[in-house]
Order: sequence, then C-alpha cells, then structure tokens
Amino acid sequence: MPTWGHLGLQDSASPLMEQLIFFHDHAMVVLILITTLVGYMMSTLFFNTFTNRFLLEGQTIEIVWTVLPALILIFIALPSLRLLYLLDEVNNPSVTLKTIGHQWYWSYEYSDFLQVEFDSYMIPSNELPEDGFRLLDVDNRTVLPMNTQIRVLISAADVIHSWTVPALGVKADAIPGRLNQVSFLMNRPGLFYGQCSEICGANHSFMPIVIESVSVNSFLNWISSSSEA
Amino acid sequence: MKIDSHERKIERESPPPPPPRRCASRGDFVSCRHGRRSSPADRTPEAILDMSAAIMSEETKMETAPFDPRFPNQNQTRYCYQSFVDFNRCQKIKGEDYEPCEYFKKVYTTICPNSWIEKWTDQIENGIFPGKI
Repeated sequence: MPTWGHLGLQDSASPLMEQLIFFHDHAMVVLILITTLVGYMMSTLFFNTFTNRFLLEGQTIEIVWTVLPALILIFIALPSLRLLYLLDEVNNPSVTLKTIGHQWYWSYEYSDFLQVEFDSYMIPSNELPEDGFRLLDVDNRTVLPMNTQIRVLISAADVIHSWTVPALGVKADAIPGRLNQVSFLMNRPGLFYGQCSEICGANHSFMPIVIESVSVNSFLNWISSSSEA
Repeated sequence: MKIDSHERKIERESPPPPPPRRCASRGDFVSCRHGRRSSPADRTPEAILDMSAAIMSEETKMETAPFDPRFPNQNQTRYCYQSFVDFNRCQKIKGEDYEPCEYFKKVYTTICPNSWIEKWTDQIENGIFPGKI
C-alpha cells in the first residue's frame, strides 16, 4: 500500500515480487557491508599519523583485494541470475486481461468468455471522498481473481504509455501497434495501485491503475454482472 | 455478448447455485457424504471449506488462450495477428461451419484488442485487408 513518505518497496502481493524484494534486501546487505568496511578503512587512514616511507609492493594484499570482491560479486550474481530466469518462466494463465492506454486513461477488456469492456479514469481531486487516495483512485477498478495465473496484454491507442503495478512487480510499456505480455499471480486479496510510467502528455501523472484482487467466485459474479450491464 | 466455445466450461448469468447435497464427483476436494443428513460434523470449518472447494472445482474452470511456444517472448503482437489470419484462412478453406476453426477465433478474441479486430474485420469486408487470406 503506497503511503506518504514511503521509502522502500511496497509490500508484495505476488510470489515473484516477494523474490524480488528478497534479492533487493540481500544485495542491500552486501552493499552496506562493503560501504561500512571501506568507510572504516578510509577514516582510520585519515586519522592515522604513522608514516612508512618505503611502502611499495604488497603482493599478498593485492591478491586478497582482487579475489575478495570477485567472491562478493559471485554472491550477488548467483541469486540475480536465478531470479532473472525465474521471471521468464513459462506459465499457463487462466485469465487474460487486455489493457489499452489512451490519453489520459486506461481501458480494459476481458474477452475470455464474456465480453466486458470499460474505461478507467482517475477520480479528480475535487470529487474525491474524504477517505479517497488522491491521484490514485479510479472510477472503475480492474477486478481480477486471486491465486490465479493472469496474463495481461498491454497496448496503446495513441502515444506510448506504461502499465505498472509495483506491488505485483510488473511493468511494461504500452506501445501503439504492439502487444506486450506480462504475467502474475496475486496471493492475497486487496487493492493494488500503479501509475502510468511513460510520459504521455499533459495528464501523464493522472491516469492511475487500480487492481482489485478478489476471490474467484466474486470475480465470476462481477464479470457476469458487468457483461449484462 | 457471449462467445460460444466448445471448450468453455462456465455458462453463467446468475450467481452459483447452492452447494449440492451429494458428494461432488471431482475427487480431490471433497470426501463423500452419501446418504448422510447434515450433522454437526458438516458444519465444522473444515467441512465448509471442503464444500466451497467442491463448488469451485465443479464450476470454475477458467480457460484462456494457451501459451503458444511459437511466441514465447514478451511481444505477443504476432500471436494475435497470426490467429486472426489463420481463422480467416481456415474459414476460407474449410467453410464457415467448420467447428475446429473456432479455436483460432477463440484465441484472437482473447488476445487481440477489440479495436484491432473491428478494424481488420472491416478491412476484410471491404476487401482491403493487407494480409494474405
């Protein structure tokens, strides 16, 4: 859930995002260790008054501070590659959602069995209820079932946009004439927010995305009532 | 508008019916409770979960266009276009009533944005579709 002054990544709502967060935390620990070590070495050297006029070669230490960083990099690279390949795994979706970016709103299409189409505009701040999220809430949310593999096909009708939901770890450009695919699974119910991520004109900051994750039965009820409407 | 497909397993315009009293035939989720009336054992949380899982496994087989290894990457534009063209070619060769052609139609309806489908269909009707059918 995005809140004011949020510094880190949003809580994950998808197993892949969870893995991305773990990798981020792991890499961050390594970076903090290196920074602390180097900072300590630099500060001790700075305040050191000893002088050695004959400091020349030091073969052992050269080997140490070449091999050690290489090992540290391997420690970072192995989880990184594992995650990279994990993100590209083939999965078999059960639901397909098409999203088309326009200036300045998203339109969604569900065409698997019943045809459902709607536009999703941001709620203007002056029409927002007291408990609404400014610049994030929309009039029609995108309802999707949880614990189901979902395929989202992203395109645009006019200029380049970008569709993203940080809590699910997905982002892909919406390019006119091209269909980009992203895939995710939501492992908890709730509302997940995102914002257009490619400059697309005056209201680029005002075309958010809201995914409403519900149980499978609620989703089926919603989709059949939406197709009748 | 409903799309009829011989693969579709959901036909619903109303909320799901109440849970069946006999045991569901789809194995895993539900243990058989033939011939028993509802007893306190049936109202335990585990029994209720079993029952709702039975409803779900009986009615909710959501299906969509499958993964196509010809198009394994992020760019699915070709999957959409190819399915559309294949459907029209299939119809032209096999005739309008040939049911297996409907597979291509199901795929392109799922994958292609509706505006693309409308535009291409209009082009075909006007004989200006750029692809070879």
